[in-house]
Amino acid sequence: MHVKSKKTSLKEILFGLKNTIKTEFSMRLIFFVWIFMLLTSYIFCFDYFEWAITIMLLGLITATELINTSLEAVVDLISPNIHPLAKIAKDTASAATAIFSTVAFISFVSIIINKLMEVGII
Amino acid sequence: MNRDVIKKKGISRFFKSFKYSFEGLVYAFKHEQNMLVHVVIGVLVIILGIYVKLNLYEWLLIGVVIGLVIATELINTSIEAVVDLSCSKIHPLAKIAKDTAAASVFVFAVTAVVVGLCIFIPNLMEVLEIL
Repeated sequence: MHVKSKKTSLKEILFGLKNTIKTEFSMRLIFFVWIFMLLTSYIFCFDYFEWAITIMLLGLITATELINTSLEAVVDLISPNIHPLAKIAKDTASAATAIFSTVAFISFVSIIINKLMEVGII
Repeated sequence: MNRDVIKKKGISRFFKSFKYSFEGLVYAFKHEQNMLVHVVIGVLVIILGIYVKLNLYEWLLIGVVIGLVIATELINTSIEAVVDLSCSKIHPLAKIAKDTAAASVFVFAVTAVVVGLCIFIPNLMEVLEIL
């Protein structure tokens, strides 16, 4: 029988965001990635479609990082002691985040390279 | 170990997973009010996209973004169920887990809106100027 929990309101969402930024180093890194990618997009004069892709990649990295943080909290909640399944859970979640971040980085670099090739610099 | 037994029946597990995924989808629609909102907005975006006549790449991006919003919402539901499964009392880590999962849905929904604006505003301006 599933226990119906209270609905998450905006206050709790903001708490989740603030807590992750305070406690996780990777979240602060992602903040700088946001600034870097937005600045780079502006400097290279992206058109609206490239802006759309950039924002999607940024949102994707942030969302997967938050999901990773959430899963780590869940694993710590269930078994505070060291357990092989806990290691599997945390490592695979980190792997997912790493894959998303790598793919996002490669995609962004490809957009920039494509843009430079269009203009004729490369 | 128990997990080795489960892994041996690989193929039947693969086909069963479709059935379980469908059941999970039905559950999420029945219990998450956000799910219906996401799907309705997705359908509206698709209708608007047909009206504005998006090109292939814009359709691809819209499709990916709609799918990701729904998938993130499903992951959020899953994490909520896991937290409720493991501890029914109030616990600070449980609050962190649930709030962070909800934050991930929120962040991606907001970026989906921004991506939609990036794609639709130029296209709408084109269509409206032609009118």
